[in-house]
Amino acid sequence: MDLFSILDLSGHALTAERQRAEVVTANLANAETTRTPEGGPYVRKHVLFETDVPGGFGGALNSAIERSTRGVHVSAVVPDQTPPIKRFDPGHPDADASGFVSLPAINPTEEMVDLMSAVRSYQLNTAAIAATKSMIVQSLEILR
Amino acid sequence: MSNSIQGLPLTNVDITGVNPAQAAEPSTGFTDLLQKAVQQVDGLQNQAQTKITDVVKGNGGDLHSAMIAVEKADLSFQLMLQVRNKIVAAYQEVSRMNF
Amino acid sequence: MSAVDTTRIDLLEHFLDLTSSRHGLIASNISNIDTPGYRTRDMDFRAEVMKLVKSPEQTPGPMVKEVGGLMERPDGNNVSLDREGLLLAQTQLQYRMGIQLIKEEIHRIEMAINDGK
Repeated sequence: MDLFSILDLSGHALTAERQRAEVVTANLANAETTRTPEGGPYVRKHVLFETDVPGGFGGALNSAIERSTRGVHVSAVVPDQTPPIKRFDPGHPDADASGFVSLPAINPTEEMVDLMSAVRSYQLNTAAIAATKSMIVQSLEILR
Repeated sequence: MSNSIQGLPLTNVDITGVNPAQAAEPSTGFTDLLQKAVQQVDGLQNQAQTKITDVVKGNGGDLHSAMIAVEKADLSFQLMLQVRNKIVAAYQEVSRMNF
Repeated sequence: MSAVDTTRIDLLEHFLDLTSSRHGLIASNISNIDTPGYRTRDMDFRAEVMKLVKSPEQTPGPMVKEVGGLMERPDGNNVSLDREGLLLAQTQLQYRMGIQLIKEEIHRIEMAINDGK
């Protein structure tokens, strides 16, 4: 497996984890957003991670190795299906006729845990990149 | 006395003491060896070139394979150089001999 | 190079192939640590190296299998941060060792060619 492709692979994983962190951060920031341009409260979002289809370098994938080294990408950012939380607050400018305000179904603790997980995964992928880079540099050492 | 000398079959005697066919062989052997070495160096250098191009173009070539191919080409080149030097030294040695 | 015995170099080159292939698998596992349903894959490195030592000629690619005995999360993913992190470091060191051995072998052959100069 050539080291430069492995570098690419880890790079794409970093992108995916970063996108995840962005979405989670947006959720956290909008935990109390009752009004959006689309109308209604902010809708919680999450990312869908999907393993890459082995397309390789356009060549025939005849070895198990080539078929097994797969990267990851974010296939979609999907809105959460959970209905908004209703809180009784008649004085709120966005309260409906019954005096209830619709709030995003976002649990800040849950989002924080998600964010920490994204950071940890990001770090691990960074370690993989450092290892790959070191191996490439060592390969050059063959030539003294 | 003159009879005995005239009787000797001189025509088939080799003055240098070495059979002419055999005298030709060592020099052909050396040329052969050097030629093979040059061909090998050429082949290995081409291989190394291809492997490096693969790596640079991103065709999925292994970096370590390319490095090793370069070293093999280099080693075989050094070997060829040494063989050539030995041949030249042997030639000079022989030409220094006084007959 | 018919005049020079390169069996050791070829063997080491295949060893490096194996090591970098395994590194690719580890990087894939790490990439997919958050992918729902992804299963950790690896090769039996020791067995593959033994295969290499027994028959140094062109061996087919290593066998890649799913790794058993790993804890599974609710979404079906079983990639272990600890396992992959450890193997990452280990494989990197193995690669470095392979490179060192090749350098030594090349140097040894060079000395032989150049009469120890």
